[in-house]
Amino acid sequence: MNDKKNTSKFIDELLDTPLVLDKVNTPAFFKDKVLNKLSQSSTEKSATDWLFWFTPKYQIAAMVLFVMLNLIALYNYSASNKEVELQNYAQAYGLSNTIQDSILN
Amino acid sequence: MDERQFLLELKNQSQAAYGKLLDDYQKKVFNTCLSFVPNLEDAEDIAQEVFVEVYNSVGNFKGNSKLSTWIYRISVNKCLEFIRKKNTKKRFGFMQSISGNAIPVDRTLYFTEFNHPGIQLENKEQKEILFRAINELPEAQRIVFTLNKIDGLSYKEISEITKKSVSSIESLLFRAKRKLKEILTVFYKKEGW
Repeated sequence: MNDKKNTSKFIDELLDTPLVLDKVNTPAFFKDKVLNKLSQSSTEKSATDWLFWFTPKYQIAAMVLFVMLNLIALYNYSASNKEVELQNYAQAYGLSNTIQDSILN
Repeated sequence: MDERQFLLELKNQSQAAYGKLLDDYQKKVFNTCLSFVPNLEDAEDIAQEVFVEVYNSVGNFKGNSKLSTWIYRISVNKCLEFIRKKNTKKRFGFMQSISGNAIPVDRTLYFTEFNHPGIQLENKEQKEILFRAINELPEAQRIVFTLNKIDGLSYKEISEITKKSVSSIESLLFRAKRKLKEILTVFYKKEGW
């Protein structure tokens, strides 16, 4: 019981004493390090500056255009392929009316 | 030079203005970072990030609050971001260790190695326990308690930084103290006090 009281008193004291710690000076060359970081970040920024206009709005438009072009190309490719496949099929079964070169003719 | 003129020069990215900003605020920012993250190296890294953020965002600063309040706000947010990341890593490490894929992690309970140069050696252990307990507090209570009790800011200054009313700051501080008492009681009980 007494111990419990002592612990509680100790915690109260711990929380009530001013906790403000001694102010610490910044490490040496802190300012130089920050200025160096800033100059690095501004160089990186200027390197990517030419893409500043490519906002998400344009990025989405470019992606939609890319997808549409691909779909059109795919459609055209499969349509022309279908024709060739049909011709090959007809030739293989002799259904084609094109004149075939053969040594028997 | 008044604050408005100074701000204008900062927005124009004047090197001289940034030099002055660093001279004026580096100690304050560094000490605030140390209050939240009591480790010399980590606090230095965070303080550097704060000034980079100030440099990158000063163009968006509308001057609704004082420059010092805005810088304090950035410092607090950067510190919380750091603590969140570190605590997540710790939790991940713990999950890895119980699932059998143990990876070498720092097994101490605290998110960083305690190394605060502003604490006297004889008080170090006591303060370290207190800092660990503060880390257990909910974020809003932790911010208010740290800014008031460790950084020594007034209720009014804290209310400007956190954009909360003075009465809610008082209430958060009261709850923080009550919660800290609970945490410390459990801790000292476990220690056999």
